[in-house]
Amino acid sequence: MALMTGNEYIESLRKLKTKVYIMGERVENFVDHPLVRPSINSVAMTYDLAHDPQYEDLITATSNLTGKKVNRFCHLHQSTEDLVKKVKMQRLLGQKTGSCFQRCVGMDAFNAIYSTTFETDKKYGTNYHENFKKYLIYVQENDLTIDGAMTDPKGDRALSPSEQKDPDMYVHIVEKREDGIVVRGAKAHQTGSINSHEHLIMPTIAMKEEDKAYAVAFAVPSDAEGVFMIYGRQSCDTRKLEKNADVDLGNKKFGGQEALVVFEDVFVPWDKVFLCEEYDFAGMMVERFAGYHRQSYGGCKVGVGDVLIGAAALAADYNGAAKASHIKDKLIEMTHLNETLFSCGIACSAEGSKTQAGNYYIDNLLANVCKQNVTRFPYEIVRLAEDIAGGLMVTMPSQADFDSPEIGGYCEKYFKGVDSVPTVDRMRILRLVENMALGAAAVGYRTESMHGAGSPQAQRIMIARQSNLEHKKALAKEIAGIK
Amino acid sequence: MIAGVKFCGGCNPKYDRKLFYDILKNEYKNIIYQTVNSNSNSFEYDLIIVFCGCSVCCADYKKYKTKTKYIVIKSIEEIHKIKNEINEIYNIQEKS
Ligand SMILES: Cc1cc2nc3c(=O)[nH]c(=O)nc-3n(C[C@H](O)[C@H](O)[C@H](O)COP(=O)(O)OP(=O)(O)OC[C@H]3O[C@@H](n4cnc5c(N)ncnc54)[C@H](O)[C@@H]3O)c2cc1C
Repeated sequence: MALMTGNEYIESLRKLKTKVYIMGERVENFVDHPLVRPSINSVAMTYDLAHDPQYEDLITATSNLTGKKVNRFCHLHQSTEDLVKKVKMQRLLGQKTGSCFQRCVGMDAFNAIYSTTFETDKKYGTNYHENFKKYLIYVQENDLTIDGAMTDPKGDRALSPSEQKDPDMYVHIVEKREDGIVVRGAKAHQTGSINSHEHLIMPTIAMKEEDKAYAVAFAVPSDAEGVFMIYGRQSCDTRKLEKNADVDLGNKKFGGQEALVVFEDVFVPWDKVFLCEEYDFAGMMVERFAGYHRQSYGGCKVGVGDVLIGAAALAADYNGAAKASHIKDKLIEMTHLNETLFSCGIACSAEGSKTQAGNYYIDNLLANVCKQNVTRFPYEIVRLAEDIAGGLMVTMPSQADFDSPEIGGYCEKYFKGVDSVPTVDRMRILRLVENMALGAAAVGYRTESMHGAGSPQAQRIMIARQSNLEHKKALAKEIAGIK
Repeated sequence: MIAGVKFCGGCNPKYDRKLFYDILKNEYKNIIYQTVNSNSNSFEYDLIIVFCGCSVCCADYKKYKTKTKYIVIKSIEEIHKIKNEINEIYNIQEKS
């Protein structure tokens, strides 16, 4: 099958029997549900741009498995150039959607599982790598969107998986059969889960022997028997259910999505199992996925940042403050922070290296530095955007008030900025800032920047491990003349 | 004359690549423009025009073949230089 268009992707979702719950109700047609559709539109963009000559150089790649053109989101990185292009592609998609486009987790899972299965097979003589290659060819040929699912609910954080009172706090194997395994548990915060054709499950943490039932990686279709999803709420989400709220939405067309995915005794055939009790490789899989995903944020968040900086600059144009030196300086600072994140994404890619399996892995120290900065800089960028936007971004009346024959005129009159700009344009740009700063898109731009790909402390542990402190001490001793 | 056209992916373009392309198309109406893709690997274009959004120019274009040269555009300021290069190739092609 050729690369899908956005529309073909949307139609392909309709063919799935994915079991979805939204606000307490089972929803059969999730594709057209107003709370879900913007997030589907974001994923659709990853398909549409693959067909546009202006963008296909970033969005497509040549598969090392088949020699065919594939969407880069289904690609195994074959060089540092590929790693760099991945980051650039993510920046581009952040720019085009102003939100999370959800397909990165799958790409990062492919690359992590590909190299981990190779090394697991080498030690244990298992056949995970060949099975995974076959699976990935199927994904590439059908141009699928896959949810890379790592995070378990985790229950009591002070306890290991096997110590939890409720054994389902981490996804685990409940039965090993001749034809496959049966698994139970859940994955939380799953980005784009409902919009994915399949789910690719990985463990959340490094494990010991007593946790081996939790050391499991596998793929299942999103509509497999026993799988269901509970949609996550987002700030201001019900504005999407209102009529005539285009302006109030800020970003009407695009959005992100997270869900809790439950696995209620789900059967997985052996050819879709990529780790089963080899607990000493759970940590490697987690570390590799996290490394790639920490690189990802040096692209996607930068693209969304580009939109926010543009919105802040327009807000200043529209209220007449654009020429003030402090406004210019704030825009410079926002750009500086955003490009610093991009620099980190590019640096960890350019310094990448080949894994034993042959695909390329980022420089893990630099990727962790990248993500650590991502836990901070978007917050500062948002703070500056809110400063420039003014209080109106959170106090302005609704679109219905602007449309009202009785009071619309007052809204028009008193919310006007510079004379040449229609009041409604000013409202639109302030609502866009609101959307990214504290509305639905803030889920992706702020809290996901904090916790996605691991909370800040997870990066600090990795930075500590790779800081090469002894080398630094030796340098200092040498210069200080200490023997 | 057939010109292959290739764009970089446009992650942070410093000018409107599409607009630049439209200007050229408008100016050189006799040229047949074809965006290159994986099916055109073996075809030899009279020239290949590469629209890169910035000086890095990460577009993967060398795999496409040209009888003359790659004209690589990295900024809007290059418009006159580009036109001269196209004119040069165009005149040679017309004469032969
Ligand atoms: C918007 C969004 C999208 C996401 N998308 C995905 C996705 O697509 N796929 C996926 O797999 N995951 C996804 N995640 C999950 C993400 O990886 C987790 O949020 C992250 O790993 C933190 O886990 P948690 O949210 O359970 O936080 P918690 O574990 O509750 O952490 C809260 C705080 O407790 C601290 N803490 C936790 N455990 C310990 C401990 N043992 N010792 C000391 N301190 C501890 C943390 O450092 C943090 O400060 C997403 C998260 C968000 C917010």
